[in-house]
Amino acid sequence: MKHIELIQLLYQHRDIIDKAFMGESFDDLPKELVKDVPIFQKVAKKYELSEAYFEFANTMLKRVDANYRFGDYNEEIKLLIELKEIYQETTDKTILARMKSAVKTLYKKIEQRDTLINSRINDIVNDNELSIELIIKEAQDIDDRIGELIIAHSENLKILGTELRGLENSFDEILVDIRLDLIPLTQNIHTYNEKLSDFILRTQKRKRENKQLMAIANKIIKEQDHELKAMLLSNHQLYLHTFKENKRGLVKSFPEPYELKRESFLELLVKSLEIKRVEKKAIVSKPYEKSQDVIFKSINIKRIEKDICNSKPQNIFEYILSHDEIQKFKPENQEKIYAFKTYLTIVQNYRDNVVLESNYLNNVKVAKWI
Amino acid sequence: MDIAKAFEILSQGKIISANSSKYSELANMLLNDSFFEEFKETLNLIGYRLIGEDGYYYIAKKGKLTQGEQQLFIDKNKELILAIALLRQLYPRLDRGGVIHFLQVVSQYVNIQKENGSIKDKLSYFSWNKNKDDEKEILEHFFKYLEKNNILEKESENISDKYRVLNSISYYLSIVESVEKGDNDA
Repeated sequence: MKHIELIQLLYQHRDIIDKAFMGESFDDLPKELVKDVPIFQKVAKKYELSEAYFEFANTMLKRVDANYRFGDYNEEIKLLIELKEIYQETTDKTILARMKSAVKTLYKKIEQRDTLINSRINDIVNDNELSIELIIKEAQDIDDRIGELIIAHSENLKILGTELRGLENSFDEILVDIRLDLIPLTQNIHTYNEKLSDFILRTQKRKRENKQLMAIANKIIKEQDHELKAMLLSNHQLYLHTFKENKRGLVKSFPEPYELKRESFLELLVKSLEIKRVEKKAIVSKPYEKSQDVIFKSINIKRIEKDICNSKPQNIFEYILSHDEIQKFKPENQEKIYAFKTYLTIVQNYRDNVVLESNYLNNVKVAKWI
Repeated sequence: MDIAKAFEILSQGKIISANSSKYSELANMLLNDSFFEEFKETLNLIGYRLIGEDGYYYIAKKGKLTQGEQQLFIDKNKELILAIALLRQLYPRLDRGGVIHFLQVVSQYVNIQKENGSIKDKLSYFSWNKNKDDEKEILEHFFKYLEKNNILEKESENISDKYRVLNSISYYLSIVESVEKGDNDA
């Protein structure tokens, strides 16, 4: 089968392959998916995607299986050293060609490993499904493996940088280029190590905090929180002061839209707005009262002035008080108030005709008309 | 933003977190050393302390607490510690800066409750919990309560489901650590 035919086959059966990639297994499959190419494997009488396909798909999608073990590539390095010895003995150019190919493949694998380690760390950091204990364990395992890889990588760099050099110029050039390309990957592996170590420390701290929180929460629920109370009260000057909320003048806030949608609110509203049937001839209490007549009274001051001019009284206030224009306020007991107001008006307006005595009668300065 | 405005906000008993969007202006002012010192001095004159640590700020009282204040102080801290214990039971790795979605919390609560009924005891503890049967409603109240106490903040007013955990969570975790440390030392 040619490569283009393989691509066509994959495309033709894309739905089945995708379901299998999501974890589905099949009792039966088209022959070409089982016999012609090993895309599927029979496991416990069911067909599942082969490991080779998973590895290919995960690599292309930059995903990494949780059980994937990152390679240290010691075998590849051993092979390169063996090939070097054979070449030194034989100076066979085909051996050198194999060495060039092996070095390039090794670089591709290291680069691929870098991508996969990054993906795996991101998976661990963002995984919210696994328990905190398992997350710490997985992170610790990966971190330990990265530690091993750092040592192996450092050894591999020495071999690529010194031991394999000096065989042939074009091979040396490849080794130099690859060594340069490996610099960022070397930095990355140390960064992953730091990132993961930091993550493990933070997660362990959270695990410790959670244990303490659960212990104290149980004590609070059981009212056995004396230590918490004692600690808070003895150090209150270090902790947030709880200001008492002022309840005066509080206006109840309008309900939020989501509160309005709530069933309990709607039930309450229906109850509040319940319409009661009323009998047609039911006695209805009268909500209105007949208003009383309002009587407006006024003083005809011109008339009082005229009478004063004619009578020329010796005590103007007493005269006004007894005048019938003022006496009409007697039912409301307001005759003295109106008499005094009128007295002030007349005394003010007729200064030339009024003489103010030095004595008082009924607390009012005596004034006489002249 | 001036000292009067800062006092108006902090004197409501709020913890202001540096990662809060709602109080970003105040948080930025408090990050300014000269403003912090001036505010601290002012509060000191009227018997309070301004405390700023680990990315959050609050006011503490210097003098003795009255009996009423003591009760309020204890009750509020207890409820909030319990609230954070509940949050961590739902999301063991949740911490400052983390993001949670309300609907995910409801579904997580339902899942955990199936396996461990004791989680309901924590929700039942809260004084505001009047309707003890409607869990979605209780959790809505729970979120409002955490929002009111400046532990959670909506990421955006337009997305009502997404909340950010503020730095103030560390304040309550530090109290728990101090108590447990005291226990272990004893």
